Amino acid sequence: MIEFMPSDDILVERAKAGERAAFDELYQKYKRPILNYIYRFIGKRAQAEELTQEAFVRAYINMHKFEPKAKFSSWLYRIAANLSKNFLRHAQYEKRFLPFKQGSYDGEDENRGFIENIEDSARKPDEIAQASEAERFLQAAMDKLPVHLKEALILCDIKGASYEEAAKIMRCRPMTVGSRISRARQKLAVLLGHLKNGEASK
Amino acid sequence: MRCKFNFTEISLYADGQYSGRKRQEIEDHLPGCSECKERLEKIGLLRDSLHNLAPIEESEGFDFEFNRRLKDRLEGHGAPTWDAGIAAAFARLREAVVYPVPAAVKVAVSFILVVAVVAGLQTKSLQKIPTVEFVAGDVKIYRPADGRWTTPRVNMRLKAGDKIRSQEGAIFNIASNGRYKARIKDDSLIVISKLDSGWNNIDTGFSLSHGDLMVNTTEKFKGSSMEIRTPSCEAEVVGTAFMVRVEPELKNMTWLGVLHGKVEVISEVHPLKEKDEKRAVVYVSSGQKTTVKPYSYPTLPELFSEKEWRMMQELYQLSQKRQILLLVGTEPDRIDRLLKPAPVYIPDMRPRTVPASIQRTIATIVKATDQKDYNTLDKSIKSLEQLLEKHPNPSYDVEILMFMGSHYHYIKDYDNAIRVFRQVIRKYPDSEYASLAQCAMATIYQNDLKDTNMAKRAYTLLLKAYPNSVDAVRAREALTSIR
Repeated sequence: MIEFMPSDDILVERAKAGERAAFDELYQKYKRPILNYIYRFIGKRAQAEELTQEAFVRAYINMHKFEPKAKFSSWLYRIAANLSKNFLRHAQYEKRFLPFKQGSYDGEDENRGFIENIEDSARKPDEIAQASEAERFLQAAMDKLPVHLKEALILCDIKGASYEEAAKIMRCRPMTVGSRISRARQKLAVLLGHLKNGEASK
Repeated sequence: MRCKFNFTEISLYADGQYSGRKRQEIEDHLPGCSECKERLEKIGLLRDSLHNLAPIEESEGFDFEFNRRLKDRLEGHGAPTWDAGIAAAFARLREAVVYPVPAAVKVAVSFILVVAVVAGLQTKSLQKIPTVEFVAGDVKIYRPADGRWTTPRVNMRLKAGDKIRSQEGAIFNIASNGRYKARIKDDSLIVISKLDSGWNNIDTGFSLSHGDLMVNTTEKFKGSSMEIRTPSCEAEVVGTAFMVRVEPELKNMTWLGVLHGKVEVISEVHPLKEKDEKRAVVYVSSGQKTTVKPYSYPTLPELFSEKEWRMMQELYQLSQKRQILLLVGTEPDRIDRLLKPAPVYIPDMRPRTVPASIQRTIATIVKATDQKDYNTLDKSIKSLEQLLEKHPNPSYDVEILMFMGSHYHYIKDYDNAIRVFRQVIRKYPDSEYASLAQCAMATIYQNDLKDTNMAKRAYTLLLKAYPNSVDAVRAREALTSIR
């Protein structure tokens, strides 16, 4: 079956001219990939949804600034990445400097491993059941990676982008992407190794 | 022995980044090096498991929430809140005080600060911030600051940005200190999009994603405003009682009915046109309804159908603060539930006006019903009647009378049951239970006393006095079966 899909370029042009329907089409096309991208980035579902909405709001408002030379999707992913990075930075700041915030401190927080932390991520119980054990380990280990390594890993290994595509989104050279992925894999292998050993000795 | 290739090289090789000689070198090296083979395996495994991670889907109401966000941003609704205003003023003040200032000015500054804080505190206490008044069933609230869904508590203050989701059978009431009450029920999702309060008014904005929202405002509402947004329209409110329903199955069609007062319904006819051209407005007054599909004109206001009248009855309940709830529902089969007999529920509401003696007696009756202890039941119902005569109170009289009638019927004391139901009709003819009491009398005549004539008369009376009530449905059915 051949389906007619207007290319991003056409949609972007129409959206830039103020056509809401064109933007809605772009939104429908990319909302799920962006949601998943942000979710893998920050590991928290409810916040990932909010950040996704925010990313599209920013895209809509800044549409006139978008240069058609670049790919629309790269631009969108960059907005999403920036939002996620800001979120993580903020979360880290809160964890480090505001441990008593919102009265969530119950004396055990300090000892909580990162496995427990992902279970807070506002997932519904049935989703937790569905997400396999291995997946939870993986996400938890990914949450521990430095941001720039994680970004490369998500783009290439989860989204399936090439080094060149990822480089455009990350604004670096393709070889930098390669070395970041390699470091991410190395760290991930170590983290998962520890995790499995740790789990086994429990 | 150290291997001549490092992890990065193997990783790049795995991703197909090498060609020519380098690639050949690695391929020749691999079979003889267990370390590199293990690395390659690990990388492959990792890549596969990452690639196979199950993608997540957006939750319901996601698009709606996005559109709301976008609209808010475009209309500049993200204006700083009152608290943020003070915080900004503080920040500015701090910056200002850094410069060397004459002592007198400093004094003046700190004085203004104190006044501002005191005035702020007073405004806070006078604010009519809506709180959670009543929760029953599965209701969850999402606070952006908490980042997760929690169970709402009674008397909890609501904030702009709160999301409330209720499931089938649930009821969630919001009350703003005498200005209005709102109810969300069954399968519904709502966002509090705006909550600005001044000295004597409150401006509220709700976004209803799907489900039912009922609002009842009082005279005190004057000067306040309320805006309800649905996927297809906006409703603006002045001193009214009305209900909004959004049906996702019908392409997010909005149904809006007004019990009294007038509601302005605005719909976005064309999303791409300029602001003035794209809006369509209708006014819906009491007893009327309108429906709006996304991006279309609202239908001209029409009178309620009988079924819709029944739906709106619940709004009367909302306006009264009941101390005791009779658990019979609002469907035509509520007569069967009443005569089963019907339980009552005493909500945790303060101040509580139901005397302890009455509460105790009700508890005894419920327990005796469970144990089929007819002697205790007989005694307790009679003592409840005496207690009610001693402590009459319109905020619970009807419910207790209905409860008593229901239990007199249960112990087959039909004369007393009829007497009590008659009392309800005589004393509280406007109560939502008056038609039910009339129906109960008729049913007792028909089924228990087998007095067809009296039953016919009672049903006919019911149809005459309460033609739009839910019990009229039952009366019509019964009359056709008697003939």
